[in-house]
Amino acid sequence: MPRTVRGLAFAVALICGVVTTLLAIGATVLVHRELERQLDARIEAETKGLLGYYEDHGFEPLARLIAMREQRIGLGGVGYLTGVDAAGRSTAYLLIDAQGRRHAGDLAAATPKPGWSEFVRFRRPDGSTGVAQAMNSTLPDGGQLIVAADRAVIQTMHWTMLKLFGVGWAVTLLLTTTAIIGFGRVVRYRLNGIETSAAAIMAGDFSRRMPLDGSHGEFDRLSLILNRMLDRISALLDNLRQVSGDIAHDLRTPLQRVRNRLDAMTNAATGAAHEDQLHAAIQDMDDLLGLFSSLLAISEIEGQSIRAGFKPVPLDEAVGEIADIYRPAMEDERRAFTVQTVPVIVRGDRRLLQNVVANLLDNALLHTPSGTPVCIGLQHGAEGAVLTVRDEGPGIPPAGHERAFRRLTRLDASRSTPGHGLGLSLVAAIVEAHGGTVEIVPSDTGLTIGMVLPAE
Amino acid sequence: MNIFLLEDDTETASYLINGLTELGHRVDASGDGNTAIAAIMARPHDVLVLDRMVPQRDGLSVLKAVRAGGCNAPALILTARSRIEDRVDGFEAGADDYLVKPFAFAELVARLNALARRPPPVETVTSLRAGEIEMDLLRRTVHRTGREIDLQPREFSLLEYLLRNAGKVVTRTMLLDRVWNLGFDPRTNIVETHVSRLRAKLDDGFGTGAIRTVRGAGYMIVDHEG
Repeated sequence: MPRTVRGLAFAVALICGVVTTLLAIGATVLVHRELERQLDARIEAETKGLLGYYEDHGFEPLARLIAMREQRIGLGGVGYLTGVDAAGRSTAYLLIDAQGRRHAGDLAAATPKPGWSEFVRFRRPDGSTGVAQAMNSTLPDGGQLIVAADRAVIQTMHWTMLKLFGVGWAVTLLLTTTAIIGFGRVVRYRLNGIETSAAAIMAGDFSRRMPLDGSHGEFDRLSLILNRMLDRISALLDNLRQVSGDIAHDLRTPLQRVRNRLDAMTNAATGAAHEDQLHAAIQDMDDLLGLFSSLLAISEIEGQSIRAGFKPVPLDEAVGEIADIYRPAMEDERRAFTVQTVPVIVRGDRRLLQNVVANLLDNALLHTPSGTPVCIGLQHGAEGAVLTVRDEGPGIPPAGHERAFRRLTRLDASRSTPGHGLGLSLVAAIVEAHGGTVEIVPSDTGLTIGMVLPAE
Repeated sequence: MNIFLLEDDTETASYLINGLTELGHRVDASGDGNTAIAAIMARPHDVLVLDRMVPQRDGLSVLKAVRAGGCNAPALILTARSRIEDRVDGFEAGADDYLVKPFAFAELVARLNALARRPPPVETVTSLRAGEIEMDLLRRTVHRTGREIDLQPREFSLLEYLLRNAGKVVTRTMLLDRVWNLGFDPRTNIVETHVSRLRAKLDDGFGTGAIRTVRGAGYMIVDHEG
């Protein structure tokens, strides 16, 4: 396969040319054969007729018949070969007696050998020379009857075919070339558009996208998929940029706190106060390390190598266990806690799936007031297992729905509630690693996190 | 007890050696895989602490080598990574426990104590006892000074784990891992909730608390008579 448009065009032109030529040769050979067969058949028929006449009437009457015939044929009586020579004649005769004298017929040629002769040179009545097909039949009395047909018809056919296919070839070449040049132009035009955009993106214009013409053709589809890829990359880049900024920001506060505590300890008295500061500093460090662990966990899960260890997990049991573990905490806060599940098996990692539920329950406990009902649902859906965790708390305003799953996002601007803002990102990373989707289900009250996981 | 430590970071190593020595343990240490194998095979240890990432041979390869050489001392793998496969690899190589860096020193000590005191593999114990508390593993009943205490299954498992490690500190992560089989740390005080419920049931009507909180480390059930 040629790899350039030019190479492809050349190959197409070559193939068209070869095919046209082969067709021309094939057609010529077929017509040539048929014409020769017809000439032969005609000569045979004439000879047979004349020989029959000779048998019935003898030599002299045959000579007279031949003379008559030659005159009639002169008027174009044998019409299926037209315009064969200037006199409109296509067949000539020669009758020679036993002594070798010419008795009738005007075939102006040397006497051909007995039997079939393919290429007999002769002189036409108009003076031009031609090549004839001839049959020499020996008469019982020693004479010879020669019937010849001009092969000019075949040559004419060859010329006609050559002209016809010459024109055909030229037209084919013209059309192919035009088509290829046009095609090449279109391809180059579209590729140039893509190249220009790619160069602009490389130069730093990350908002640039591949041009679309709305035709939904191949190039549009290519541009569309490239644009989707660019969107994804740019979302990841934005996320990365946001995360690096947020990490730097989020680390400063607790590090400052630790520093202050250590500072205070250098000049503080010993004793209980000292120890309190120490434990608080350790607690701060643990929080920081926890933040790092969560970030690492998310990138590990997004790395997707975890898929290798996936096994069938009875999701209802896994969810039930977590619900049991969280039930006392829910009861302590006088929350109505309901769990409604149906048996569903999903392929995944049990602990990670439990982590999803635990995270969402943690969120409910941390971000909604005591007494707020929480409920877990697990059902079969059209696209797999549908897992929902709902609380009747204040919810998240619709504007924050998309941002909620981003790393280090905390929707309460005060940042007063505990946590790193990684819970929902971890949930999203785990669900996506399982081939599922997660979203905040729009509702008037409360917060419902809905997940769809492909069921086994 | 005799502890072997494989750790290539000299600062971490000396911190651990000092800490463990202060607690009265004897520590042999080595900073690379090959000398570690020689040292482990040279004399018996009660427990091995192997860092996974060290020069020459990594901790898992060292563990495989000494297990092949006939050493069956319990082993704890230290790692900087928390990947699930790493954990599985560790247990396949013959590790008994797994601790992700960074860790609290108290956590390491608690786990080493639990490892060294591990009961024999064949379980013949049908009852556990610590102080006033008595647990019948077959009838799944618990008594404190003869009075029966009604526990939920999860409370029972929690108490069982504490009793099996009676007199030793049990950390929050150990409980999450061993009692609830959770591979992660919830952001809410789930462990505290369960422990306080268990406490409420165990201590109801008694003057003294059965479960002690060890600040910065975890919980402990007191193992003394009366």
